[in-house]
Amino acid sequence: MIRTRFLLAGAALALLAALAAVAVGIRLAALPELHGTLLDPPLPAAEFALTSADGGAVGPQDFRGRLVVLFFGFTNCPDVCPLTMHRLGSAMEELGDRADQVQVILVSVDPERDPPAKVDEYAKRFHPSFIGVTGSDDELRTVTSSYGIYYARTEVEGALGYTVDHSASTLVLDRNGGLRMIWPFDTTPEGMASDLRYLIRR
Amino acid sequence: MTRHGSSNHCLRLPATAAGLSLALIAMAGCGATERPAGPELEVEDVWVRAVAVAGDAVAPEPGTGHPSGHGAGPNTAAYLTLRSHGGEADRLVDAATEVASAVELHRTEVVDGVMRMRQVEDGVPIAPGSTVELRPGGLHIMLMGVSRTLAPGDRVDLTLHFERAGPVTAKAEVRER
Ligand SMILES: [Cu+2]
Repeated sequence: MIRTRFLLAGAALALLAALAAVAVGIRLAALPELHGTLLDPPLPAAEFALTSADGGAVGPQDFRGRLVVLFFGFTNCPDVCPLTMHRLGSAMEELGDRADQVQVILVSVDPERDPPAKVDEYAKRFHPSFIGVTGSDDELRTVTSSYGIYYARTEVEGALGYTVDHSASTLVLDRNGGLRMIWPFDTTPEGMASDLRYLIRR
Repeated sequence: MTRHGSSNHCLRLPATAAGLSLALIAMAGCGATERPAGPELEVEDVWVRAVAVAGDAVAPEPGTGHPSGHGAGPNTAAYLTLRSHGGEADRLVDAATEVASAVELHRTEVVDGVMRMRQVEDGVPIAPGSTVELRPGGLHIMLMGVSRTLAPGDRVDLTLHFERAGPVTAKAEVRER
């Protein structure tokens, strides 16, 4: 009697294991090579209300149903920021008619030199759909710390006066606003487009 | 091609770009000790990232405009490749262009995912036989307070100052990235 029960339990376990293996197999087959770190399950991501070009409050919660791509930088950054923004623009071109399922938001972490209208104009140079926002130092500190983004205003020698050290990673939120993917600085436009296509399909 | 001589009677011709590449012939001297001429230091692939100046052609009054670290106008960066074919070590110590109010040599580093940009205090050394790339995410020539829109395809004169080879003016091509 006891033995039969064990056997039954064993058979059930084996069946479950087989089913799980099939399921994993299907998932693996469907999983393309990803170019960033996939967060599975997604991490809860904070809503925020930063200031847009028209003075209104904007945050990822305004774009539910779309993927939201967040990059933190500043318009006077001559190197890493335009490079990343340009790559994001190219990724949108790659996406073609699926680009409308993605909203790119540039958050300036240099509010002193970047009023919202300036950030927005700068962002739109890389793709007309992009938006740029910023906020007070307090607001930016809250937003960046909730997303694990580092930034620090740093006084430097020379004509620059100060610069802003900042995380060079790009974040992708899923349609429900969960943090789903983190791209390192050197992610290519093709890699971004491929990952976005994967996240759109899911 | 430009000839650089160390003695005063040598002609210093203005450098011109041959295509995208520019070759310097650095000679030891013009007298009896003249060495066989050969390009010792080449400056190649000189480009500037495109940048838009809001309300272009409107010169901001002194003291007004939005500070970009230096005067009005946005910032951008110039990139190039330095190729040494031997000879003596040299060093890129400074650069200048009339489209920017300040120019500095900078290095961007991404360490643990954080981007930092700092001025390169001692210039960019070029060891004999080495190749040094100034490229996005690394070394760059930072152009601050850019005075006019630089659109892809435009050309900008960029004067590079080398410790040994002296000033060299290259035509930088404006590119999207
Ligand atoms: Cu710089």
